[in-house]
Amino acid sequence: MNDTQPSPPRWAYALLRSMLRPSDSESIPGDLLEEYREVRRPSLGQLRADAWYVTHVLSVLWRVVWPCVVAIAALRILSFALPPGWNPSLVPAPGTSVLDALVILWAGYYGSQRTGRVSTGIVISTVTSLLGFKMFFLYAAITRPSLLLAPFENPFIFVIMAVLLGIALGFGMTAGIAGAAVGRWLPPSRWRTRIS
Amino acid sequence: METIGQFEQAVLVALIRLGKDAYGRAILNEVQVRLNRGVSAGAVYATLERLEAKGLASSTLAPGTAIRGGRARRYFVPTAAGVRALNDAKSATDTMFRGLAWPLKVRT
Repeated sequence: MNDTQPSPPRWAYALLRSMLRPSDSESIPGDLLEEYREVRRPSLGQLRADAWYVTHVLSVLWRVVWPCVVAIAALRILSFALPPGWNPSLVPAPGTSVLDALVILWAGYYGSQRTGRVSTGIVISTVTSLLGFKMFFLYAAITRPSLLLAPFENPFIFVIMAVLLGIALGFGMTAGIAGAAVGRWLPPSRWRTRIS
Repeated sequence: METIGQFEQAVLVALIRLGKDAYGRAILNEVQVRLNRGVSAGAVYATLERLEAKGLASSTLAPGTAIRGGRARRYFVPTAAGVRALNDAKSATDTMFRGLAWPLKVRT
């Protein structure tokens, strides 16, 4: 997007392209860009037009990522219900257990098989890892709501949470890259239906 | 006989209504108008992909315009199987409602 006409956020455009098969990587961004420039931007202004664009990009992302979100949510429910120790953490942070690694590896594999792009696998595995990490806080909010107030009493806890999030995302990206690399170099699956 | 869901029917009908102008953006707008609600781009593109995978629609790429930065447009058309599936779906709905006084009334 290097022309002078109004353009949606670059990060959203890059995210959208990373989710698409090579055969769709022009047509779908082109459709959204056309609607953005011709209708949304003139009628809504930049902020709301950007929000419109991001919403539709996230809808495309959701169509790709939802099986992985279901898998990580199922793993969380299972791991909360079973006694501790059965699923050891590989790194001292939430969302970095052996089974987390397997789900994220699969997410990376699934993503890159779906589009033939390693970037799709990395994005999907990172999103899966992020949501898997957030589910710990959702669980805490439901079971011990007082824990959510702790960081406001001791702001250093925010730093600890940020570090843990960084570790979980790094873990997710690493596992995702491995899964995506495997998915990229294996023959295409049934998910990649359109060739041209 | 290929059975299709309501959203797939809406997208296939949009392809028929739009004719040679049936590309992604126009289909999204047409489906929103006909269903009278907001529809996400992700839902429409996933449905188009599914229809193609089922052999109910096919697509071709055509050059893009300046406003879309020259990006190609993908035009969709329903296949013969797609039209048959739509006829079957309409016929099934008609059969289901046949003999009932329209509009239906709530019994009290």
